[in-house]
Amino acid sequence: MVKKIVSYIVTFILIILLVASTAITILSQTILKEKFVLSLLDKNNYYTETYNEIFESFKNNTVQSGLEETILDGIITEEQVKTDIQSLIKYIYTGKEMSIDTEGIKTKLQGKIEEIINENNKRVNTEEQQAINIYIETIANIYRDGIVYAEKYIQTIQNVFAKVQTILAKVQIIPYLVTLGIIVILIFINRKESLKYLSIACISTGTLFIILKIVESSTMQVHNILLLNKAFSNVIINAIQSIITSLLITGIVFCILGLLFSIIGNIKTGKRTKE
Amino acid sequence: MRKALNKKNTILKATIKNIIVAFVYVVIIVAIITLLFSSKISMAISLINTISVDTSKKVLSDVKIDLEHNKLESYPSIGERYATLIIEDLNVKLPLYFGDSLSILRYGVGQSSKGYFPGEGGSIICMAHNTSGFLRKLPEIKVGTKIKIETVYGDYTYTVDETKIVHQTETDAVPVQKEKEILMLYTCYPVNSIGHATHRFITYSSLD
Repeated sequence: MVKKIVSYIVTFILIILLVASTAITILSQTILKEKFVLSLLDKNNYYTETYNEIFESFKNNTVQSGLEETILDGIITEEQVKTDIQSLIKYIYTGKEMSIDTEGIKTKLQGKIEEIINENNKRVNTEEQQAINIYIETIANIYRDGIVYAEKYIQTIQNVFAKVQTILAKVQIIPYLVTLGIIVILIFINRKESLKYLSIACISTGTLFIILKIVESSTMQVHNILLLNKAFSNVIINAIQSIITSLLITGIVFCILGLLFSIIGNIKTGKRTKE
Repeated sequence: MRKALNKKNTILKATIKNIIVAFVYVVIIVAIITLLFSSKISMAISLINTISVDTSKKVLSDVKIDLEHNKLESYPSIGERYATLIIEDLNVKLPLYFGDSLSILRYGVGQSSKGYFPGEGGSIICMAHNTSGFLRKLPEIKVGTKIKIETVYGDYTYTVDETKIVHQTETDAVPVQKEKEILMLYTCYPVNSIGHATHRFITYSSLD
């Protein structure tokens, strides 16, 4: 009887550890991995979408400037947007200094405006030069904001990522080792019925992940998230959905494993009873 | 044959028993989680749902006015076109949208959400760019000129009483009040400037 109670308590601990280990594994293989985020950005056409969003904002600001929209032609390229976004991602994951080039934009724009002024033989007074400078500065800021969104948040995210990565690097192995230790203890306590308890732990863990998916699809509108802009929202939606899908697949695998353990365990018990 | 069937039944029964025990564990764990984190979980769910916008269900608002109380019964959404602004003397006919973001102003006249709507008896604050196709000719407007706003709930005509040029920082030049219906229509000034225009040309018109 005592053996049974201890086995059930150990099984409970095993379920908690299996949930924790799976969650850590999935998080470290998705959102905490630079490669995963880069592939997500590629998959969601994030670079092109961001380029288009920035260019639209450029146009919105140019309509009121008295300049033609054609002045923006060639000011930025999709390739430049991609390079700058990748530099931002590198900064978040590695802390390596990011370089977002707005000087090039300013120089190109200044040159184009001077061309227009010269073509129209227009004399620019100090006030007008100041208005031009403000316009150029606004365009440069729109570009930087379009890439970085909010600098202070990026700094916070970088700090959190750095901390999580340091902690994970140190303790990632611990939940696996403890899980393994608990399984050994379970076998040691109740060798004959160890597969039964393992199967219960696996089915419970799997069911918890499946419940999480059910809760997500019945109570949350993840697919409708709208944050900052369409491009960014799509990345967030896909990141959340990939994590939840991974958890669901893991949950199903755990349930199947649990059923297998149960069947094998019962066959073995049957044989032993026969002997 | 019967032995094999019995064996299968025993295995099935034992497996079902294991599944039931597993579900009991799940119920216990879910109960513990709900007990400890229910407020945090519902906060997270409502946060996600707050930033979720179901664009597929968006329909054009049915804007109506309650004439007895001079108040709109339902308002247009931000970015929704609900009226047309006409200045016949200047040959201006522009769509009027609710909202004044730069993305709205690219397509016509924007109406600030800080003011009131035509017919509500307060300040109506409208603006558009000073480029051709928008309000480039506004500084040519004269006192006495009629400005018409044709909304989906009725037409309103205003007469220009005064015009003013102010610096962009003088935001009190377009005050929000509800004593008198005044249309305040403005654009950037000077109209032929390059870059960022620092002044605003404002027209003040009262309801006929």
